[in-house]
Amino acid sequence: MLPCVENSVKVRRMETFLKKTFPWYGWILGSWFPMQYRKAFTILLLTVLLYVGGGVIVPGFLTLEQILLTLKLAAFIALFGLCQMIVIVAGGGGLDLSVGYTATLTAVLTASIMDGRNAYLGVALLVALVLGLLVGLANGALTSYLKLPPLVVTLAMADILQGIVNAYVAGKAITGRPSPVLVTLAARLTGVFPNILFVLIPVAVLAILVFERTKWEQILFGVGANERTAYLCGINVKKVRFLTFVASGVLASLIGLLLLGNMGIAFKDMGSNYVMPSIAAVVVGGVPLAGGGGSYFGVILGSIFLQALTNLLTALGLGDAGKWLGFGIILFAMLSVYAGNRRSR
Amino acid sequence: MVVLEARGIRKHFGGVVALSDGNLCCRQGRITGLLGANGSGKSTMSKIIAGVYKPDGGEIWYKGRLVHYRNPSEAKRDGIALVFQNLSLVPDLTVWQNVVLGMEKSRGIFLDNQEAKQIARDILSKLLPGLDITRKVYELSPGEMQIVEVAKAIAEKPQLLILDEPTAALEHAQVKSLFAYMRALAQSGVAIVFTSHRLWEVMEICDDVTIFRNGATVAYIDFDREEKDPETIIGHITGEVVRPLLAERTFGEGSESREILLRARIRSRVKSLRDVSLELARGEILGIGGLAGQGQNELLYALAGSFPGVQCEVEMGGKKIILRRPQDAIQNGILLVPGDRQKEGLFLEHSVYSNMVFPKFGLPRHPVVIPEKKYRRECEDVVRLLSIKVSGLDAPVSTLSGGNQQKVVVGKWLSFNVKVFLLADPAKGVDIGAKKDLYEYIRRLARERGIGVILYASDHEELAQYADRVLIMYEGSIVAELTGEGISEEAITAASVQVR
Repeated sequence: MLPCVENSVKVRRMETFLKKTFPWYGWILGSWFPMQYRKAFTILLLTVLLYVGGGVIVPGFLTLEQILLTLKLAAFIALFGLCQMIVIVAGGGGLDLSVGYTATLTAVLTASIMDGRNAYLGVALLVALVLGLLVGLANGALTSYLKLPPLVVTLAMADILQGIVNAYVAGKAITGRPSPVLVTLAARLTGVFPNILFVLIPVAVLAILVFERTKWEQILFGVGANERTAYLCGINVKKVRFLTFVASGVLASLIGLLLLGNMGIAFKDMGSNYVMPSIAAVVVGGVPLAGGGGSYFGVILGSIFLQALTNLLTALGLGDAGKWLGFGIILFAMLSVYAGNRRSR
Repeated sequence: MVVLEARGIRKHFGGVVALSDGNLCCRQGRITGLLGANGSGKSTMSKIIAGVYKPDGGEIWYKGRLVHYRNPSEAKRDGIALVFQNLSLVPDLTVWQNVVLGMEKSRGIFLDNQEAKQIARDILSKLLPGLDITRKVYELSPGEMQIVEVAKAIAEKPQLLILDEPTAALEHAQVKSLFAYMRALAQSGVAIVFTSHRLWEVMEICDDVTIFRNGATVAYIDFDREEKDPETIIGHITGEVVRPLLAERTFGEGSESREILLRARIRSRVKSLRDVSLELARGEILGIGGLAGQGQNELLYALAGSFPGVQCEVEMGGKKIILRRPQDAIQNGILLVPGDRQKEGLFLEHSVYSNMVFPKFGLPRHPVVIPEKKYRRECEDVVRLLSIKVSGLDAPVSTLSGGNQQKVVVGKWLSFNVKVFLLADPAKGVDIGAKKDLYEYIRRLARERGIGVILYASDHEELAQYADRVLIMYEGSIVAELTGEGISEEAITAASVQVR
């Protein structure tokens, strides 16, 4: 509940905007809707609008299969979005540009270890954990203790990781396949239901619980909102920010395994494409980039919205160019709605 | 001659009414005091006149003309200058560059720096003699910055000068020279509006006062015709008749009953604080006085284990503890209420509840899952105990008035086992009513629970009223100690300046 209180002004601003654009919006919301879920509700509404609009323009866009496919693809953005959110809410200009690259390296390394065998899944997990931990520790130490800007540190880390991947695959095809368990989990469907959602839903529930009920949430949001106040209250600000990078690194590395499971093979750009969408999802989901607030529920909805937009643009035949163009425009729109509120104060 | 008259000004922000009926009249050559508790609307009024806000209703007549300013630069062009409470200087520029910023003289295509320097030198030599105008603003003390701010407004040669709490960051001597300059300025025909929380300043400098309460003008007193009676004024501000406050110093009479609670030794390698040692008894309120910026804040940080580079060793209950980080102090019950509540004490956008429970999470072995129900009950108790005016525990702290925000900063420590309270200027920017509440509560806490309090107040009146013993600081060291009958506002001020 608490994380959303500070966003109430922004929510109100967005609502005014929407009420002007869609007169029936105010009627739907009424006054009974709890403030803290209004932002999430607004994103949900935008997504629904996208589908209805898409369904009209593109026949066959508004079907259950399409929606479930969107959810499956959005799940990966949402998982990377969790890494991103943990780092961003702790403030201090936190951002992790290395998440996708960590995932790629993990996928490339573990593919050859597993090579389609379940028996080596444990080893692969261990490798993933160690790799994620190393990347996270390095990012965290450089940003928190050496006080280097996270943007530059994680960008450099991303380049280093990509360099390692490129060197590893230089001159030879990447061999190996994920273990069948991973494939089942990440790529297969149960009926029409994508299995990856069985991963995302528990993760989401856990993340939302952590972000609403535990001291970690309070500490993260406090450090993000005002590090001096947090310091004087006895919080070790450096350690907290250090740990957010470690968590992000480990999570990103584990997501790399799922990504490998989904794709069936490892290739050298498999994770990097998720970095920008993961940040976009956090922004669209209403987490302030300065930290100190936000909800993971919003980030999930943001991921779904972005994936739905991608699908629509693809269905319209705009392809990759259209996807990035759409992302950019949406980011601008969301940021100006959020920033507009700051200007008016 | 009336320079400005504002009638029936109304202004609301969202659902909050800031001004319901604001009236103000400024005359040429006179200094008008604007008085009122925090949130009474006097700052809003100043900002409306200077064009920062647009009023919702009412009219403003300036020099016989009805005006509607859309922004501060329009008002400035007409000769209305506002000195902000929060500083608007550019830290990386020099003093004189800041003074002439926005009105650069040019000679051809080049700026005429010589003339600009001369303007700055002329003004500052009267306001603050001895200030080097080629220093960078970030090197100045808060008081000096405030003076430069005033100089900047004066350099624009205004006909109406609005000073919004210019003295809050100033030391006594600086206030005196500011007042002398204001008087000279008024004599040259400038109308001045002056706001301050310190009543004596208003009594000393103003020719008349306009008093605000709950967004409306409630009284206008012309000192030429009526006598200067502080109690009448306080009565108008608070809306009730206040009996004169009496210093109550029952503590520390019998020295045999003194039980030492804390002995502290500070070894410092930084310039702002020297090696200092002090003792604090149970139930004692130890005042720290002196001119502004003489290391008082630094001393409190050191005692709270929050000043890296300074080693602080304390002895409490026969135990020696070295305070290395805030956690060390907190776990031993040494709790700090920092001076700048917005930057150091609160998460402004977070709820009252979040702010109040936050320090608990710094404790080791705090359960991961928050026992929210229990904490909410605790918070409600604290809200009731300190009579914090708030719509609910989930209201963002930024919606509270200054005094209530300060109560939240104090309240967040109350569930701890408080042994020593370190208070850095807790009444700064807090209105008279809330100030009294806060100090009375702290005194009760000290007397009833045997808590030791170290209180730094920039206002010597507060120290004289509430401290049992006063230490005077100068350039980072303790230079004098006042006890018992020797404590008075005059004595503290005298001791503070004597060391010069």
